[in-house]
Amino acid sequence: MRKSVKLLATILAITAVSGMTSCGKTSDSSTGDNLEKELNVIGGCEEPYLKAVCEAFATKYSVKVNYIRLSAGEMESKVEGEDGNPTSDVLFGGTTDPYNYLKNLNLLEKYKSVNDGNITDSKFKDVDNYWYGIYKGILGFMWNKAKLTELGLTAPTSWADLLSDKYHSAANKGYITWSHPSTAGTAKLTVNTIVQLKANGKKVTYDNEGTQTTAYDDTEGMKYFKSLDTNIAEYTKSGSGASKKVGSGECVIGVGFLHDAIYQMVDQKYGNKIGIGAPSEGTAFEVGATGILKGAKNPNLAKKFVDFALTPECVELGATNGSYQFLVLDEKTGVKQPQAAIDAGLTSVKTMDYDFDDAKTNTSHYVTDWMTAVNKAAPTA
Amino acid sequence: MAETSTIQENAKPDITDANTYKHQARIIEIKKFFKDPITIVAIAGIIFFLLLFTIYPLIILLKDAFVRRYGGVDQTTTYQFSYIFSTLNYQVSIKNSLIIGLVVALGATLVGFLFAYVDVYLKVKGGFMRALFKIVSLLPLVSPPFVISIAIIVLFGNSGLITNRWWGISMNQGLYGYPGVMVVEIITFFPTAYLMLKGLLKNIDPSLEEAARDMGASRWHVFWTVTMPLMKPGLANAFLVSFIESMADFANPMIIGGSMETMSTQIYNTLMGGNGINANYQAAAMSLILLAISMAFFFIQKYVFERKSYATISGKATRARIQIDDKSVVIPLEIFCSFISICVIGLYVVVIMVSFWQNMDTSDIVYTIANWKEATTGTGLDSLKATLLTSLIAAPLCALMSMIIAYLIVKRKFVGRGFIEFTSMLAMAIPGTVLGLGFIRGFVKGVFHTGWMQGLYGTIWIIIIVFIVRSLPVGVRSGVAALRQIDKSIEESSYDMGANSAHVFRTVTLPLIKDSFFSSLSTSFVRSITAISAVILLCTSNIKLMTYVINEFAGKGAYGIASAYATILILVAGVTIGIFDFLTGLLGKGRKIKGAKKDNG
Repeated sequence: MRKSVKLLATILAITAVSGMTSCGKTSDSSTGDNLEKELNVIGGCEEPYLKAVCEAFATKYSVKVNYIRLSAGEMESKVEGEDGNPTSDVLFGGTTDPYNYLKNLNLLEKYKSVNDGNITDSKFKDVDNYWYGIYKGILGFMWNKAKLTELGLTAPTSWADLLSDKYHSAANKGYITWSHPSTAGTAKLTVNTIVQLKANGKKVTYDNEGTQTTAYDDTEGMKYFKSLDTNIAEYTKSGSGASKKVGSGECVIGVGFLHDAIYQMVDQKYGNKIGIGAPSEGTAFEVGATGILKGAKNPNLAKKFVDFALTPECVELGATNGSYQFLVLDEKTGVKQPQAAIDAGLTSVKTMDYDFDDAKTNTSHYVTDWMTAVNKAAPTA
Repeated sequence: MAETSTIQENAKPDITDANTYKHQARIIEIKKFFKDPITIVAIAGIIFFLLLFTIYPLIILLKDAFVRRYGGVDQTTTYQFSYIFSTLNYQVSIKNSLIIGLVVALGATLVGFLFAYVDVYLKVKGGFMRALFKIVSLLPLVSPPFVISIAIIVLFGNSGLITNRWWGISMNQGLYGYPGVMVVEIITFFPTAYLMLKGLLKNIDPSLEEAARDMGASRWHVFWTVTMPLMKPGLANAFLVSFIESMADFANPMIIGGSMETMSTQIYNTLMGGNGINANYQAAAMSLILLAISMAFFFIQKYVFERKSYATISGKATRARIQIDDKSVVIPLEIFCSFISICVIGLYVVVIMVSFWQNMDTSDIVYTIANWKEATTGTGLDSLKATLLTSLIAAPLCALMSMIIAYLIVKRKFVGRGFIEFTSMLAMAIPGTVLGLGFIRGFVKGVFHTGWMQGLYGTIWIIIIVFIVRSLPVGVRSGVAALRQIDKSIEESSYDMGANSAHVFRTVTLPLIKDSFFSSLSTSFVRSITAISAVILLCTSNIKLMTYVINEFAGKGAYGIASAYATILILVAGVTIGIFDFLTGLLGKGRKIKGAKKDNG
């Protein structure tokens, strides 16, 4: 056995040495003004929307476009794991959290699009031009009408309402499906929303992996989540988990993005079996973004893609492909908001003044506190 | 390689003559070894492969697990481990994994043993039972992940066809969590236990039991005092293998676990949750803990029980067994096994049914072929192609490599043999999620971040390599078993007549282990097309495997499309196994006919 260990060490050494010698050989593809022939996209939006956008771009520029859909967290982990040697060129869709995180790690490429002027509200683009917004999704409630009737319940109308005793069974099994803050961007947004609403502007400092950082005081927020826990049936891994289960009645009441629920109603044909609403205290919204990866193999085409993503021609593909988020392009571009979202009454939803900057730095702090406060890893059984 | 002269250190000091003789024999063997460059190249190549693609990814994880980024700087520390062991969330998921593992291993072994016992010991009538057994033992092995979970949710979930529509239970929330995961995993893993135990039961010499019967022992008494003691190591073996499989299972807890997390799902969620750089280190530390548990069981299985079972049950039964036809034994067992079989087959029928559903609304089922259209065009077709391409390349490479490794382990003595044997089997104990994580962390910037082999990541080859590493243990095991039955003298005579090792391997050994080669070919193909946990992290925009797409859709609750994809995969796997079975049969016959002709002529 000792011999084999020795052998192992020798071979490891050889491997390492031959690795060294070939180090630095990686060639830098020359970048001219010519467009590349192929583009690789990571999408954080729903697959049909992503597919339609990629196909439209491919046709427009007569190039080949490959795409893969990942959740926001997966997207972030993948790009971070690839650490500057990306297999893809450009990101499309998904919340801005991963974009801000990747920007800080210096993994996004700065690019000021020729269509920069199409977005006028500064909330919807990065101040340093690392990403641009394409849509906004509104957080709210959804429920299965038949199950509510079956259980003799009424739909929730406010964040406070969710804590009501009626939303759990006699055996203390909750009826509300929400997503898990450690995995779902949607849940992270909800945590931030509640913390901000409950803190009333009160701030505290904490030790953020070695740096003293200021954040909202989340004591009241965590009390809320601890209490909400009694009414929770399941914390799904993905943010759209509740919407996918609400149509069939697997889930009675869900917290998530309302456009996800509309998708189920329209495209999955659940129609009026699902009801939706927004909390009366005001709700938050996500911004879906697009940006170029640092080290992209097809940088010129990637830039064209971002230009394309900031036109009505591109973003309106959402509504025809099952993604009913509100579009963030300026009205002067003539962009049409999705009719299904207007029909569902989303135009009148009250939104809060969400503190995006706080969310950028302190989300993981709140999530850690949530994990300690709730500790909902135990099986529901 | 110069140390070769000290291979057989354990030669005891004996009579001087014998010693000199042994010494000379050893020298001859060494000379033969060095005159045989093909063997040396093969050994070096395999050691290189195993080091790079099994050991290296684990080393990377080991390194990551002891890092914490604090104040913007990476520190080497055991912080992640103390964090994991002091955080309730992690403690609970470790506990969940262990409890589920133990219950599932117990259940799978028990059900597997009953099936094996009925199959070998009882006189079962007709082809119906045989066909049932064959289907039930194959289906879970060829089925992609999620399938059984989807079927169970459709039948027994909150809006389940059975629980909600028939029995009128408005919510069946008890399903999600322990009960669901346990039932699904027992169904998934008992066929492996059944196949393992069936082989062992067949090898028990009936004379032992019949002797006991002749001396007046009751059947029950014989079962407990003769059969069971002989089976004990085999049962322990099946238990441990099922335990390891359950610990590594990622797909089922993900979908039917409710808000319960196991170690496998937590590693994935921690890593993929977008929780910052320290989450990566936490995931690595968690992976190491999972790996340590799996490896501990793997060691027990390999070095305690596998040896024992070889020692107790040697060779083959001398003659056919007189099967039990006592009605009081046969009927209840037959009913039990048929019931389970029909339930399992029923679950697959449900999956096929769901693939034609517009959505999961069980109160208003609308049938459609839209799912099938989507699964067979565009992304669907691309993913089918990618899956077939990678698996078709991986399977023959894996089968060939398995046979070469098995051959080297059994027939050759050389430095590093222990290493090859251990490492090629090691992959069995590495959960897919852990291996996938090691690959992405280890190859994305080249080996040890030097840029060397950087080109591998993002190509089909990295996926093919993962497939090979994952299937190697099965192939090597079957190759070793087959080779142990072949006497060394057959090959030696060929060497003596001047053939080199490649020639001997091709013309003597390979024909003799052909069956084992084909079985590992089909096993590795099926394992590859149904693999998910190890490759989910390695899929890119160019290469989307079918299992990745199923995961995407199943995760979204689009069970209809997921089921259509799953049905296609099952069909492909079934057809492949059928073709291989047919080919093996054909080749086997050919050999017999040739042999017969020679005898006559």
